[in-house]
Amino acid sequence: MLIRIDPTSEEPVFAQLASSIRADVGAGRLKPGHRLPSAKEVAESLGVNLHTVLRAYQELRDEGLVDIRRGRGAVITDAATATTHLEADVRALVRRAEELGVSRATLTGLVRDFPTKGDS
Amino acid sequence: MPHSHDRARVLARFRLVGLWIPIALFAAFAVVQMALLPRVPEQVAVHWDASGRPDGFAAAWTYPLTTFLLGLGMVLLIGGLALAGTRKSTSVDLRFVSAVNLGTAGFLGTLLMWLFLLQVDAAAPTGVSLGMWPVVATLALGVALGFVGWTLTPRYLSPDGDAATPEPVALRDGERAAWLGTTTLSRAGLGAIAAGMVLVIGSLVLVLQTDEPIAIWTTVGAMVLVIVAGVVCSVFRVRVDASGLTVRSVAGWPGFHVPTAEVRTVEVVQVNPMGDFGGWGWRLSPTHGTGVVMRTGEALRVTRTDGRMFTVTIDDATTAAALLRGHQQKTRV
Repeated sequence: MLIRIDPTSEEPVFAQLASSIRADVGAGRLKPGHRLPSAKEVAESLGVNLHTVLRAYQELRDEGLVDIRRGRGAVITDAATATTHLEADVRALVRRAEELGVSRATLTGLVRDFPTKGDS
Repeated sequence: MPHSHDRARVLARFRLVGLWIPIALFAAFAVVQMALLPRVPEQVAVHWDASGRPDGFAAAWTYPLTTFLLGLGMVLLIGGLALAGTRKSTSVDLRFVSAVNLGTAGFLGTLLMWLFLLQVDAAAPTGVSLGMWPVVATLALGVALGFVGWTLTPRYLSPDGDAATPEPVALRDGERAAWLGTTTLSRAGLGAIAAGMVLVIGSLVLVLQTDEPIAIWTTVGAMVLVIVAGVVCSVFRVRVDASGLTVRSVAGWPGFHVPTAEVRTVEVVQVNPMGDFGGWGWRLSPTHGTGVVMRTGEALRVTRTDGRMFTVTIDDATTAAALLRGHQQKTRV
């Protein structure tokens, strides 16, 4: 698993980590059942704080992308494959938004605020 | 023998020199022993002490049985695994395996034959003493046949070469990048180790016809050592980061580290565990250097500035290699 982060970027490191792993799952490079390296290993190899990595893993757990179990660490969930099915749709949506001149931030807001089924 | 342009022919020649001929030799020895069974005592000597006096005895038929089964077992195990390991690579170099199998027939086969012949027309097995000469002579014959096996086995070198050097990852200033992976002993590797142990234990049971507690405890101790060694060498964490390449067993030991500054070349190669390294696990090869060999297939190979090589079988070796090259390039700036 390749991880690249830029500590000088405005995006917080934990968010970059989570994005990197999310992208790997989306591209099918990380499959359900795959065990992520321990947070300690990731922190050591990148030279970042352990809690930064833990925060990234927790964010992914909150999204349902990974399961964190004692002794096993962070494991990609079966539900994670669902995101891979969305990749083509995401690509189409992003390109369409670019065509229309809608910023990525606005698009993200649109998706986040879109009412879930059942709400009026 | 020089290169051959026909890969299939190279494999066929290996099967002849490294499989069929050694097996035929063991079979021939066993047949001769069976033919001579009526002329040896019913109980024969199978073990001698340090002064050459026989101290272990067994039924005479254990000789042809051991000669054939042990010989067949070793040659098939080593030769078969080496052949199976060629499936992922284009180049084929099984000269060493041929040497080992033919050499084993030359040494072990002729030694067992000699020990049996000593007892033909003997009045009683207790009188058959053993000097150094048979062991020395058969060992020399084994080495000679090993050399013959090496010489008679051609290689096939893929015209494009089997090693690939991926483009280095272009790391931006301030960027941090790491590649993390795990490599685990394959089922085939585990099976090979288990089969090897069965052969060793089986032959020890046949040969160690003694109640000496020290012999039994040494055997048990050796088995425990092999199992422990196998366990600590079955799962390794592989890491590429700014500090270089680090490969460490999940048990904590053994571990290997190549600092970025000591990296001369980085390649992705195809590994044949039995053919290239003589087996699975932590291996040392005169031609390929140190290896962490968990399965057949793609591997990361680093050559240090001092010439030493280190190889680790790992999935997605290309990305790991590209990153290592990327870190290497950064230190050169």
